[in-house]
Amino acid sequence: MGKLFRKISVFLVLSCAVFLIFNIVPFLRFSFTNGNTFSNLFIMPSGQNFDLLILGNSHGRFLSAWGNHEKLESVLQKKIFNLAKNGNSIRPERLYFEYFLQKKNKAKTILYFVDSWQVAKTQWEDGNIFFDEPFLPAFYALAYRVGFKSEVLINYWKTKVSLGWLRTVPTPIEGNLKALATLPSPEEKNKAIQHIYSFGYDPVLREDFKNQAELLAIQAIQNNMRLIFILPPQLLRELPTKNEMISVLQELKNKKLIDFADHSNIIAEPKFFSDLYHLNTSGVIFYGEKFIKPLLEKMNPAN
Amino acid sequence: MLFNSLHFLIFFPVVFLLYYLVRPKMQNSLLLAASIYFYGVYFPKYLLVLAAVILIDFYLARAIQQTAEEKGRRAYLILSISANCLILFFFKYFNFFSGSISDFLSFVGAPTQFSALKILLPLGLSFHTLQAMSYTIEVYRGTEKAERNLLVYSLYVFFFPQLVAGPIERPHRLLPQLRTPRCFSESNVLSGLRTTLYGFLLKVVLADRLGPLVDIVYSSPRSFTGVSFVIATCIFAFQIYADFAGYSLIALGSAKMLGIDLVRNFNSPYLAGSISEFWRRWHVSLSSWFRDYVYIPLGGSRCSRLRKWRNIFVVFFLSGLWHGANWTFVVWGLLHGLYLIIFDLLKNAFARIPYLIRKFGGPVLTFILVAFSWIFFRAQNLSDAWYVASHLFSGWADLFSKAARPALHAEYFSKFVYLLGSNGGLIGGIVLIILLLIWEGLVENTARSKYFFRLPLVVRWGVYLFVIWGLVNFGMFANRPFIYFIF
Repeated sequence: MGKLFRKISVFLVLSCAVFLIFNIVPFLRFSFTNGNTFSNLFIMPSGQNFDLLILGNSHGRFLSAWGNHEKLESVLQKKIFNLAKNGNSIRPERLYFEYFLQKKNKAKTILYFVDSWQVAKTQWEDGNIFFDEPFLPAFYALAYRVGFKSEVLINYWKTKVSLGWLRTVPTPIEGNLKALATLPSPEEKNKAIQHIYSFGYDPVLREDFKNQAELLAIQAIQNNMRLIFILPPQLLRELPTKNEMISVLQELKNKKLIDFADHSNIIAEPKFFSDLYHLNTSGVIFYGEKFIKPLLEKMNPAN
Repeated sequence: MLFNSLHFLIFFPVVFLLYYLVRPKMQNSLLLAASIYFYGVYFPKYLLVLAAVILIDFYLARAIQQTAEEKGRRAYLILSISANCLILFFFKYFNFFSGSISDFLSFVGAPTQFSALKILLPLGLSFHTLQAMSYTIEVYRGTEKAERNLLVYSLYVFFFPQLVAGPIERPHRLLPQLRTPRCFSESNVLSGLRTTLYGFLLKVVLADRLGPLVDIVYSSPRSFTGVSFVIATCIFAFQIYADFAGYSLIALGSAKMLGIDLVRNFNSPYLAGSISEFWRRWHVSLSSWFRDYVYIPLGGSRCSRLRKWRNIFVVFFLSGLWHGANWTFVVWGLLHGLYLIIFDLLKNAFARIPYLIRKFGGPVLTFILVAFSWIFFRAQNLSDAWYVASHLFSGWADLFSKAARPALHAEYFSKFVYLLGSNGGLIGGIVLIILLLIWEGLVENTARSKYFFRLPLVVRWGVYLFVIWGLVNFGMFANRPFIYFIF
């Protein structure tokens, strides 16, 4: 039996070595920053202090992607770290935030970019949410402890041995230069809204979102951070569940846990958008200068 | 507990380690406890049903052995078979037959509604029933001595690798293995690991990827036409094979690692040159059970032609019914019976066909016939099955019509999506099927299959790593249950 166990052990060690090699290939090939990747764990700092931490979904992530990060820092004159992730709902964002704190990082203010639909469904939180994140045992252990589904945890390490993972490369940093020429037609807006709400609306998720937001807020306060939720600028008209989202945020504000701002209709020029939902590089600079900077000054004059 | 679950991947190594660490006398107790846990973790209530089946047959078999007079022995046998069949009938067929009788009475103008029982079929009951019946029959025949040790007999019925979907073992094969302690053997463990790995490959890479391609068509057949039916049915032929053979291989491999040999249930069935050969290669444990306990006692083929055909029909009627409480399974079974009868009728004519045509045409024709019968096996009801069967040739002309091509493209290639999350779904599935056929053709030749073990260790380990990588990368881990669990 001993001989067999030695053989199996050697084979397992070999398998783990192959897994490790797959996992670290992108690390060895490239250097990642907030401006050239959509992943969080490639760039997770350690023991650093930031003026501003960005959480949320793609609206937040696009403030840094394509080389926007340095431009935004320059506009706001702040040291920024971006943990927002395309398609993320609040649970995985809380996980990244937890890991950020676990790595002994700090920030003064958190801007959480949240879509109105997040109070109605978690459609985007599918089994593959960590597909572009390197496998870090500490993060995996945290995700397990927090209670992520086994499908998510299996896919996390499974995607690290895929061919797609080996092809991980930095994203371009020349800026998001796409710009809409005209405002979308009402039909285009309706089609987009139908797509977002295609999985239906589940009112039960309102309480779930509120609980998660409250836990996030408490954690921020415990770490001396101020949490501000922002409904991001976009070209769609009022989303169906916007009032529900605002009512949730107002409840949390009344408890003195958070602040929030509704920027959903604040920019109407299509030239600042790359699509119906997301700012392009010019839009990020414009938005940062005209709205985020005054917001930060208003919410916290000391900043 | 499913084999393709994290739970089993933790459960089995623990059982394996304890199994070889405990004293040999404790092995059976450990296996039984593990089997009870394996089965009871999701459905603890059903343990009582299986316990009842075990106790009934254990004591009746002993009664058969201890009774000298033939009348008494036969009475105990009939009691045992009746008890097993009654339990199976109650859980599996009561609602089906009461519904069918109710439909018939409505049809003849005397509508009567029977209340349906709200019961679920205990997993694996169909398999246990046959395995238990073969035991009492063999004791009656005198070919097997009644087991005196309840623990050993319980394990015969309740051995977790084959607990839920076979293979259906025979007492002369399994009981002697359970009576003697099993020693650790490196070759058994390695062989078992390889077999299990292949089983997982079939299940999670092939079967679970093909499943959604079939589901799309068979869940609403009236939205599709002939080309889709042919493709989906052919794919189902491989889905069910990969699913069931995969399960059987995992069962075989797990048992092998524990030092127990189970019967091999599949032997490249789609390489069969005739329907009779197909049934010597497909679900061998079931077909041999029906051969030994139904077909031969009825007279087998040692009787007039008409009786022989009657025997074939009875066997395949029962086989179809065993597969499920639905008339679709009965039709499926009867179709195979019909095939065998037609082959029997045309035996001499087939023998005159040139060898090469028989050698290559035989498997193709056999596959076409088997695939056609799978329509009835897969369809949800007779109406859907008949719709698919009668529209197999519809819509083919559109393949050659330029105007119809966009709609045709939308029908298959955008609906048949899965494998790579893109339009590669159908093509990927076909590639996997071709690889499977090539592999099975290669390993049919024992000399070729042994060649692999003569390769250097580095090469063999490289292959295993590659296979595991393929399993992880291309496997579907959404816990789709095994198809044969419903039987």
